[in-house]
Amino acid sequence: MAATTTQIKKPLLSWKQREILSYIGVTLLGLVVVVIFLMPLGYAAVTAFKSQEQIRDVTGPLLPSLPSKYNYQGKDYNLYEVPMPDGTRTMALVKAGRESSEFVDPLNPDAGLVKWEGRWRTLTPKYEFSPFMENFERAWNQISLGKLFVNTFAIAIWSMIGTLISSILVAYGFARFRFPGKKVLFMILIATIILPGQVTLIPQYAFFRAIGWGGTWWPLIIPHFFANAYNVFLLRQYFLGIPRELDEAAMMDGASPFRILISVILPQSMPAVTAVAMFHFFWSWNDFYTPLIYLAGKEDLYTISIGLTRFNNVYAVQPGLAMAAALMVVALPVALFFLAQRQFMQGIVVTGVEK
Amino acid sequence: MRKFALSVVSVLILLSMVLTACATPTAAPTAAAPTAEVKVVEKTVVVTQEVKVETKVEVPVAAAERTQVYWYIGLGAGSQPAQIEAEKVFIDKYNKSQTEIQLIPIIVDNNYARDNLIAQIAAGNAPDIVGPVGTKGRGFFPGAFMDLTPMVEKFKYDLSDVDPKFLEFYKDEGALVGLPFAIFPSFLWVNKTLLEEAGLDMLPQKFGEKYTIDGKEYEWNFDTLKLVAMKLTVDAKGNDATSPDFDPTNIVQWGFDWQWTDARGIATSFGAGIPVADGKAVLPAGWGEAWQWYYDGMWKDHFIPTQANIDSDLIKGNEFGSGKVAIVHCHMWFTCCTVPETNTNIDIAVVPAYNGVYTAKMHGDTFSILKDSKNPEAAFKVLTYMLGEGSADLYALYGGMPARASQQADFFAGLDKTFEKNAVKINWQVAVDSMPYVDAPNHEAGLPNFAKADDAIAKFTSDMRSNDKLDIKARIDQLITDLNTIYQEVKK
Amino acid sequence: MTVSQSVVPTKPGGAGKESKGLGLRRREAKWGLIFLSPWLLGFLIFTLLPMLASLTFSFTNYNPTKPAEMSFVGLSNYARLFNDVDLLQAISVTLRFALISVPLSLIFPLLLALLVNSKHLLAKNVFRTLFYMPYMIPVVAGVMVFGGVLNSESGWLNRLLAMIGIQGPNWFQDANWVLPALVIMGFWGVGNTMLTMLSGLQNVPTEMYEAAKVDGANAFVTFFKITIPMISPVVFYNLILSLIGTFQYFTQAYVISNGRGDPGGATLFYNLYLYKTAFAFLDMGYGSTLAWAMFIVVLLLTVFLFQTQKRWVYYAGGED
Repeated sequence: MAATTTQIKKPLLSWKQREILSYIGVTLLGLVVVVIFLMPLGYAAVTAFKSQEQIRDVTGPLLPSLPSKYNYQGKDYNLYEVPMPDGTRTMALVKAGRESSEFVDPLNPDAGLVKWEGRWRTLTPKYEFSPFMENFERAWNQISLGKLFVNTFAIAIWSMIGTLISSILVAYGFARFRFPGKKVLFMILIATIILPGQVTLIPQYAFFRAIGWGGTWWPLIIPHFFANAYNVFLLRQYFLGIPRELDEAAMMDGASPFRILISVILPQSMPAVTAVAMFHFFWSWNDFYTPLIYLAGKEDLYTISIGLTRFNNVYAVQPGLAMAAALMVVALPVALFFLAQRQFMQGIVVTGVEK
Repeated sequence: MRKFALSVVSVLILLSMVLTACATPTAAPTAAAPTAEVKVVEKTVVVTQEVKVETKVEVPVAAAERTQVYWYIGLGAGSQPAQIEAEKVFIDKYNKSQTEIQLIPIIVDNNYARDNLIAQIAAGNAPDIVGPVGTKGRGFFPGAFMDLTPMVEKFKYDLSDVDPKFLEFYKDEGALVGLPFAIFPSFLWVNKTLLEEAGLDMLPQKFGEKYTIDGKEYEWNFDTLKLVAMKLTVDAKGNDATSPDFDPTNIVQWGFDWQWTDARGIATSFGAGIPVADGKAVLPAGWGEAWQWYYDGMWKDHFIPTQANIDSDLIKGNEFGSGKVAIVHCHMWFTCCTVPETNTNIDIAVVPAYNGVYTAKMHGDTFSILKDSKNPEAAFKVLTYMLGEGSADLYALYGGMPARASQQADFFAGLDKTFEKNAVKINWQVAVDSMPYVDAPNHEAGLPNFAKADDAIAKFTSDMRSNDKLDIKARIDQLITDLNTIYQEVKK
Repeated sequence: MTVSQSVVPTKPGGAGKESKGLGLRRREAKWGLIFLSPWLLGFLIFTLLPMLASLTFSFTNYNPTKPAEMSFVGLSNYARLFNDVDLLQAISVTLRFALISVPLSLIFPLLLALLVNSKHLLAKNVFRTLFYMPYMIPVVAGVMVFGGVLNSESGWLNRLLAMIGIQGPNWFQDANWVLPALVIMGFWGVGNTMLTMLSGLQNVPTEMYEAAKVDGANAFVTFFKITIPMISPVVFYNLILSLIGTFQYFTQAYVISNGRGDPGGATLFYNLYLYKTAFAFLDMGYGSTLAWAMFIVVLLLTVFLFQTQKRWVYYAGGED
């Protein structure tokens, strides 16, 4: 990585200066890209702090604001900058008309209504910054986000445990044992990756219903105890990279295959196991279709994805609440990802060449 | 699954590449091994223990002994947050009122309710009661609902004070598939603040009444509505749609729309009809003109919001509720959604006439029992409670006007409470007067191969709303051709 | 990874091969199958039997609300495939989308990966987390966010375009713009692909770059002669997954188009059409046929791609 190789021409800048410039340049580029990339999140954040009324005011300021008001005879009226013969005055629009409207001057309310010829829509409204704080609490309560969190978390964790145990066992079987038909079985396993879910959807659904698991978490958890092609593949590849001498040594000591898996293979595979666990967790966290089908109607069992659809109801679109909920929902996985990033990356990269 | 797939398999590659290829089974794993070992074993043990605890996952246990009756909500109204709370209260009340039946709700968001109910029926897990559900909602499940006539006879259920004309709403192909619950006549919802700003009078509130603009009298028909609506459509500079300076790319307020309906609901204002006769697709009289009027209203005269407008934050989801659309045609159930907190000066008016004929489309909602119900008699008992003793709660909950004349006065008194803050007392007489102008046949009437036919109509509606270069006549011909093909499919 | 040399699948427990150390072999096979059993069982219950069931459905007119009328219709569902206007539309939408989205779904994450792999980037971990973050937002919420951002009237993107004097399109209402809009939406979920590309980049041995430098290669040459070939296996797998993903594209299209393929069928993706057929029109017989047709096409496509990989995918250690 060192760039201190021979240089024929005398550089304009010293190596150190160039290095610093590169840091600044690349990091700036990164900042620009990340800002554009996360612009939608910015939209979500701003919207989360807006009331329905503020969202509807599309010509208003980008940040959550409210028109400044003036209370005249017990009612609130919006303030506008009105050009008057004697200069621009800030006045409240009391009676709107198409071509002429009536205003009141807050500095001189006793003068009564002032008639102004012109279109009030062309006037500049006065705004004041006013974030709407209720969305978060309302969103939390309206869909019982606390409960959704617990549900989603429970499903994600249980199914993660299932997929870890089963996938590790199966991957170990594929990685370390010779038996007839293994190659074919492995091919079949991989082929299931490209199998469209729709092919098995209806019969599977009927099956789970038939055994009385409709409206329960079982269909979301139990299938994960039977391994999954991606995970098996990932883990198998990792296991293959662990020198066989280690298990052979353990075998000489009389360890059973199960014992070898636990005390030799697994300790060496933690990065891969972490990667599988994290991938599964994120996937389960966002899974939409399975809970939609199996949990429909059982509100107590809903997951976050399903709960969020309530904000997208055709007859009650509530962007402010939806965005607030989305921000709260993403917080946990982001924190997890940030904390586990090291392990996670190691699992993917295996032999980290970082630095 | 897709992204998961993406990620994991990609990971595999790397691994396979690294492990099989890079012949350096080196440092990292081996070095880390000794220290990691102990910990990992511990962890694994913990994991296995947790698995044993796993049976804790909760499965709701219903009270035993009582007959369970499942009530499926979401096909029509009923899946909005405020309603869900009220439904739960209603169910608690019912379950406490007797000891034989346990009523259990299945509430599914309207977006997904149809698909979900199909899946439940397909898996032999049909709920018992479905509702509230309209004609269209039932249309997706042809033959799935039970004919209640035998039950009505067996339990001597009294239907005498229901207008026979409205009883038709609860019949599919002659079978009584629901007991009369609510009817929802339609009329114009008017934002009076916007009318006053434009210097316009309130729209007619009696059938046959004329409308006056600037001292000149006009027949109350669609030409007049168009004129009014154009005056109420304003761009950011304050020009209205009749002005040559009007900027259609920058509209901030619209004049009119049919809110929350499809092409059939729109067309029926120009004359009731059904696009099928003898198994062939036909275009009912007036419908072509209606669609032309609607299309021009969006793309030529700009007083009706297009799909892009409807989706914009300005009026998103609820045109009238946003306060930025002056007049909408909608039903009685729209009391749910006028947003009385901000729209404090609204009233209702009669629909305009087309060629001298008034048509005010009607919705009729009911609760039905599925044929696959395991306890139809218990379900019928619940049904009689819902429509008898418990009906007042449900009318309030769903904004439905009672189908029985005897219950209507209380209903309006309740509505006045909801609209307490409104500047004027809303003239509910308009709703009552609109009932005789019901669309017969109904705009939601069943069609052959209904799900597909309805889909073709939805596609047509979407095309009108989002395609600014549509040859509307040719597109209507296309719709008729498509419908014909769809009808043919079931004939074979 | 080729299916060719497959022998007749041997039954579990059956001894296929003869001689040396039969006992040991047996023991090993027994253990192998014990470890495999979770998957074998799961495959049987959750995959194979349902597959057979849906294969059976594909020869019937199965409608779940009318189970009594179910009957075998022979190959007529398969004949319909060749005579279905909507299917043609669905295939055309899917292919057009694949054409735009697949290349971009490889290039964009690769560029991001190059960025966050740069040794000159400060706070790499923060950047990686930030780029990965949108992937963790539930799809439904993501669609709502983009519904706002790409809104033709009030969305930030069109407002931004307006600032530089461009009138932005009606992203979700214009049949010509809705696919690009979905592609833009797809950019948000590239976190995973970026990470895998990144790990690919990190696995290129540093010595190779140093050698290139000694040879006087510039950054451009280094990238195309060393980086690209070295990460081609990653690119290859991402390509396959991206293709499969396009065929299975569903949730976004479903949410954005009210489940119908609006506007004017421009988002009628294959999978959405399949879903409509089975769950909206209740034509589960034909729905199953569509599912199987998709499976077969994707399978053939995958096999085909695997055949081509010899030409351009470089495995450092030779093929497995």
